[in-house]
Amino acid sequence: MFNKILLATDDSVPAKKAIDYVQNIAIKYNAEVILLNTYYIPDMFNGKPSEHYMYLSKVEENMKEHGEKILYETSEKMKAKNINVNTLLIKGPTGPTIVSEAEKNNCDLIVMGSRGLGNVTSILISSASNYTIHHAKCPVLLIK
Amino acid sequence: MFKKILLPVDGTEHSEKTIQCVKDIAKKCNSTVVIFHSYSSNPLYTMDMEEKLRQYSFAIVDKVVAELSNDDISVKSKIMKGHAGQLIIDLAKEENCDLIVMGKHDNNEIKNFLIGSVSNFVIHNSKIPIFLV
Repeated sequence: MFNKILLATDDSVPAKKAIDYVQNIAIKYNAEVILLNTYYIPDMFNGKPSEHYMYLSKVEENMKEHGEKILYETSEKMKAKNINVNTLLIKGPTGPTIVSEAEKNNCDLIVMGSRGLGNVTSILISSASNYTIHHAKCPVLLIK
Repeated sequence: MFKKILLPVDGTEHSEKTIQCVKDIAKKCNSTVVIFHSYSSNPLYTMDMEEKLRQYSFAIVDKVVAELSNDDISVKSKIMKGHAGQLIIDLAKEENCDLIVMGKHDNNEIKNFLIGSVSNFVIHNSKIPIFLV
């Protein structure tokens, strides 16, 4: 039933728990796993080249590097268990990116933690999880 | 993983899809399924109406129980009266479930545009993973 699982991941505690769940499901269903990490800085300065802009591009670079590190570590962990893993590192707002990538890659399950590393604008469910459960066409497994 | 699955049902079409999903997971993981249905009461309801609701609830649950036990899945069922969301959270705790499987929509057509109010309550208040079909 689950052939392709999208795991949206970052460094947060629920996301780490989600890795274990995905490993178990992937082994049981012999499924392929796609690891997704996104990074994004909202365009607050209308893209005007300024001091802020220079600073932000540096931050973005760091986020990208960090994402690469997370994806590498997680995918190595899964490869050790003989799971077929692909990684995706995409620049864009988290929720919409998760939904669109799941559709693009024909995923039949999205697994994600209920809270990521974002600001505490919503304490129980992050905006990314909220967007995903409202917009995803496929089932979503939300790990607490 | 997924030793005991809580499956709230409401007898609608959306719920059908959820049941198929649970069947599949329960078979793969050899899990026990707790089937749950609740009905709400209102001071304006007569005894007769409430009795009918209760019977209707039993009919919904019995149908799902039969469907799942046909596939050799061990099943438990529970019917309660009250606020569905809170009852689901409490039951998950009481029964030590490790997964709740729900449809994204519930029975209420007006609130059906996005996510059902019951699912929404459970998503926000559950301590265990939730599978939204």
